[in-house]
Amino acid sequence: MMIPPGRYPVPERGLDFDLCEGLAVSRDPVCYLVTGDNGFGKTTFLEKVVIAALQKEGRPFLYLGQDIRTQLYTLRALLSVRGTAVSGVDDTRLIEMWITQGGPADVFLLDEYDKYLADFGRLFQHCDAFMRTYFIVSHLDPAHIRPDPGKFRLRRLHFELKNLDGAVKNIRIRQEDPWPR
Amino acid sequence: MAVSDIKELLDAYDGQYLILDYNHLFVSGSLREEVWLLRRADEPALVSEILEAARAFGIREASAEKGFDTYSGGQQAILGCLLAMALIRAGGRSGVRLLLSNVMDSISGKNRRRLRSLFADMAASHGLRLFIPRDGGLRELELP
Repeated sequence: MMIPPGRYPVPERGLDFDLCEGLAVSRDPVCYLVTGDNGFGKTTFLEKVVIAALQKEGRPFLYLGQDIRTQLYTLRALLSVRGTAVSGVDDTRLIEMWITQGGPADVFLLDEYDKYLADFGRLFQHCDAFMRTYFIVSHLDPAHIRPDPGKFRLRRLHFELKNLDGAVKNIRIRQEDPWPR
Repeated sequence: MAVSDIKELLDAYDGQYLILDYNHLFVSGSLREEVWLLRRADEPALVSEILEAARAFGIREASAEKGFDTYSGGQQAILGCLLAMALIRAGGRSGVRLLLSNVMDSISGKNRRRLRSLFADMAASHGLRLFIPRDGGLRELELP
């Protein structure tokens, strides 16, 4: 599937996105590193545009949000109810167990995962056989979140303020290559 | 880095550190309410001071009554830091040790540099010290 270029207004959040280039979400492995200043709508874009498009297409995905603490409590309870022993399991292992039980998802959205758990290598390795598209929001040094460049096309998705229209922020989303260093 | 458990942080550091945890930044719904609860008084001048500082971080939409849940995660982290600094100044406190848990890494590089500069000013004027959880203990952050 492809999220086409164009305008994506989200008036309830005071944001209007201008996606300059289409976003491929296909079987071809790609990793989008989502960057930009605070309040430019990175999370909103993932939730209101990308996830909405995935749901419309019936495309299975996994999403780890910014407020991971609450989500981890939920995952622990969910796995426990399913009969999986989670007592004493560390957070990274818990996420791996959730991914394994999560079904056939091949799209993974990670919103500031690295501020909690830095071990992207372990995550990429765990998902290597089935994950094809990553959206990774981060404010930290991207060097440590680089997936296998021989396998994944690496693109930076950068959010910048185009202008203000009253209370609405017009945000331009540019794709950049190569991966920032 | 790790997902900090607020109960563990409080058990270990409450009473010695002012703790600001990304997943529990505020106790109320808006800046006006937060100041009211923490200062036990309506203090519009203090709220205005925080709002003015927030605008320098590009948070133009900030207002006294705007719900915290309508800001982005990074904006909330910035507001939490600005609030903490304003409260320290208003209370005339010195030597406060501020423990930031998953806060600075929610903030863009540009805003992080701006915030560290404000923290450095507070270190000079009020003896503020910054700490982050690291490797099962705490690490003090050097300020420019």
